[in-house]
Amino acid sequence: MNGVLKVVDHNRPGGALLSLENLRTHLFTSKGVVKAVDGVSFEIKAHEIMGLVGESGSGKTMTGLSIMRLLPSPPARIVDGRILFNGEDLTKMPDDEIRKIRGSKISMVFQDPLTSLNPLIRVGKQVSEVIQIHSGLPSEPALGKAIEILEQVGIPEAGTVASQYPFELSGGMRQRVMIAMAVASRPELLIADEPTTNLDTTIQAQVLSLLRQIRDSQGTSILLITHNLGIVAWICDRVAVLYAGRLAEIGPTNAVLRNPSHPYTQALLRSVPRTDSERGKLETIPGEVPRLTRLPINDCHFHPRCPHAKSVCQSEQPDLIQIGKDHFASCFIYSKDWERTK
Amino acid sequence: MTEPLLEAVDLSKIFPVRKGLVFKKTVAEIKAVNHVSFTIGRNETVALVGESGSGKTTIARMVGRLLRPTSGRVLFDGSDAWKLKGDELKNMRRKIGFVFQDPFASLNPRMRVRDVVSEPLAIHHLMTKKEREERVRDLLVRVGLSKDDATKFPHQFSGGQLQRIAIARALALEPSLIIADEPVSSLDVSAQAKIMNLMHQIQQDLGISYLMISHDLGVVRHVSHAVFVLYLGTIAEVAPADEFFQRTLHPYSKALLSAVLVPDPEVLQKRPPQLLKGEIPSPLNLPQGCKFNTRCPFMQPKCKEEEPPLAPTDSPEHTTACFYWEPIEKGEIVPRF
Amino acid sequence: MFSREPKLVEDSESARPLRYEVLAILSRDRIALVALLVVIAATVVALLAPYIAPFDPTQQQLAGSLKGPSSIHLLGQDELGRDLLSRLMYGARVSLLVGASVVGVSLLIGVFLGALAGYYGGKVDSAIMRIVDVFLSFPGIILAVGAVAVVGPGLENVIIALILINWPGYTRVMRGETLRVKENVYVLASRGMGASDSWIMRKHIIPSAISPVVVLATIGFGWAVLAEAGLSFLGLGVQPPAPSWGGMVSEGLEYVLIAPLMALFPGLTIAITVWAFNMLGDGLRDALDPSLRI
Repeated sequence: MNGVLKVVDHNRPGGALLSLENLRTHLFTSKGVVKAVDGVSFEIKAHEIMGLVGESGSGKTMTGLSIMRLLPSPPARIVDGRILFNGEDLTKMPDDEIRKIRGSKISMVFQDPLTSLNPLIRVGKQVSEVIQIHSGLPSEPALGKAIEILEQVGIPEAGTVASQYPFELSGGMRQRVMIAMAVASRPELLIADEPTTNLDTTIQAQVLSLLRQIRDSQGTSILLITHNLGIVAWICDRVAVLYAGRLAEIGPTNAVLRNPSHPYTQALLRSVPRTDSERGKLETIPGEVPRLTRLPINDCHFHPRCPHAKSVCQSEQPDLIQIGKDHFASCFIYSKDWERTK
Repeated sequence: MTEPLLEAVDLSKIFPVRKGLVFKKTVAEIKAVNHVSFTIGRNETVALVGESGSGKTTIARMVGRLLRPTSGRVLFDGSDAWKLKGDELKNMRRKIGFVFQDPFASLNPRMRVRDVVSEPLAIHHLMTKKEREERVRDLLVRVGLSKDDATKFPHQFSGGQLQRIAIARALALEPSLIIADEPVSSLDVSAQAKIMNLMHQIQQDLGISYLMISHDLGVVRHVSHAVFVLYLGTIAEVAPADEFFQRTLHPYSKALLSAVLVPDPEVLQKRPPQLLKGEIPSPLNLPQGCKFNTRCPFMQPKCKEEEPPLAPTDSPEHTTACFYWEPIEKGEIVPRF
Repeated sequence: MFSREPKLVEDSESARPLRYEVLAILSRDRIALVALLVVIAATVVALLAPYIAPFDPTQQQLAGSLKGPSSIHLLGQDELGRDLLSRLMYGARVSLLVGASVVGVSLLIGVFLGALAGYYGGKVDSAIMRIVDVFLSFPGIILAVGAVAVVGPGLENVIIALILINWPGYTRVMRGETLRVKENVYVLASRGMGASDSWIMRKHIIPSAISPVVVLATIGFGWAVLAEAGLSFLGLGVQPPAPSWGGMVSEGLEYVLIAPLMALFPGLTIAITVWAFNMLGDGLRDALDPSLRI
């Protein structure tokens, strides 16, 4: 049962803005094939903020890059699956067409806003160039539009900031500029990969609230890639938890975080240090995230670290099983005959 | 009360900003740390909390004798750390270990784990080669690695494992204080918890003290006994950890605590993060009066004129640098967000 | 509830020390591999010249003057009937000796001064780098010709002259690398343990900063071989009758219309050797670049 896609009922092609169907993105390195994304399916609805959560090596960034078709190639390649955006398969699209979608209908914001901005070009010019590419406006009105958008993303004295260079701005301001560039074309989908990881806590809250505001005012769907479950709790409508390139659990944020069902999600939540608890030891997940080159094909990748593992977990890959409304977990515990399983 | 392990007295650090190719002129000053004092007791963890530009790393480096303070003193075991010389200095060095934020950067990628962990022993010419190898194996086991890892290279480990190696290295000279600068912030959630538990365990077993630098109050909650909140190089609030997480008094501490996102949608719904306006001002151009006044939702006219001193409150060992902590707590001043 | 002990993930593939990985990457680079073989071959020939050369390189056989290749003299004979192959083999000794000593001494000076300048900065840096600038402001080969012209021709003088124009380049590269490496947190960590400056230099700075300098050295080796050939061609290098590649090209050119092979063979030898060192340098640069190590 080679990890074939089980079409789950929330996953109707065409009904969603974006839907991933059994996506497999592998990295062909000198040390073997890394199955960075190994059969991931989920969808993003219009007007929704979807969280994609995982630790390093979970495949969350590769999933984002696969959607944008911005994979480092070589070594990475989409080997299987479909990415349907408004019903069109992005994996099959020719390069010049995907380029038209990139930056206009789907935009991306990266973790490090300093390296994503050109250090030699004034901020206003960088934003207005994006506007010019997508709207064909001449440079003068495009710059005016750029300043307007910089204001919309909460940059004070946007006119002054527009004439500054990236290095003159703080990290939070640079990330706002990146977001301004990403939303300038009013995309339908914004992919934000760890957009606040390098920012201070108080600035992180500001930037996240900006993202939510963009969704509310423009109706943009957002795929928020993060390792931080607190961020998910605050602004995501639904969340997908990845482990070693596979989907462990997916569902509405409330359901997944308050009723975590996959043993990995449960353990991960317990190991988050919280301010509303006591000093002392935290619970931990034994072992390390596995090396993706050495994984067996037919197993639950989490079984070596799972407290509930039985022999079936070593020999079969679990399907997504429904836990509640729109809430699925890929764990044998929820199969009918778990009690009888060895 | 016993004598504290470490005492920082009125520490300040000013970085000159120089310009000019040949004759470098000082054109401005960055006041990174302003008159900061604190003590670390034995077997105690003190957390310095703050955002970038708060001066927390600068303080850690001055305390660890890696950066000379512009003024102020660091007393370690009663003697002035910056006046020690020769053998006394070497002895003090042995008593302070360091753990840095990014273990990929703080371990030399060209050295085997064995050489990394035994480097402090070699620097101080301690033990024979054989004894050192023995010690390395013991240390690796203590931090939860296998003794066979000694011959491997750093790139063969995950971030969490590398941080264990860094901790083993810090323990090699049997220090009484470990200065840990954001020791878990570059790690995955599951690795974070393990490193925090390890540090906790080591403290219980060996009775060492930690000076912990962190911006993550969740982490601070789990490890520290006392919390120092810094804003732009100045202490805003000091409190025993248990009290701090029950009752914060300074508006900046409140904002910082509220910005921590607990992974529970219901908690966040009940108590959504308050958004501070604006950004941290440039340390080149510090605000007059209270340094937090440009962002403080409770700001009053006096805050722009006078800098509030760190003053005692109604609770012992709890001090704060805010004129209005009492009316704020009683709800007499309404916040403007 | 989590009772099982964590197991470390083993990965035998990456469990090898750095130098093996460098070799492994180098071995996948075909051109660098060929270059390495050429360099090894040249070195072996130079070392074993007295044993494997078919003739004495200075032995004259006027009867065979300017004769082309034959079964006895594989590459032919020069104007005095000396065996060209033997002369090339002995000439390799001169070329490689010059290359090795010029590069070796320049490297030592460059690594030492560059590390000092980069590590201490300030006045030490200014003093060292001003001297470097003075040397770099002269066109290299003209400086060498001038130096040899003043002190007189000869192998030692050629070597000294080439070192004079070579060391500033190594110093500059080493200084730049040192500036970069000294910012690493592991250097700070070492200082925190109480390490002395000399310890930090020996254990951290030099081992981490040296690889680009080593790459420069392999390319510099080819350059030195070429420069020696040039100086010998001008009559400033090894004095006849001792053979050197540059000298042989120079002698051959006099007879280029009658016996073109006499200049061609040493010329080709120089070209191939220099090419090999350059390619080896390129390959080594790639192999030492950690970002290419997946």
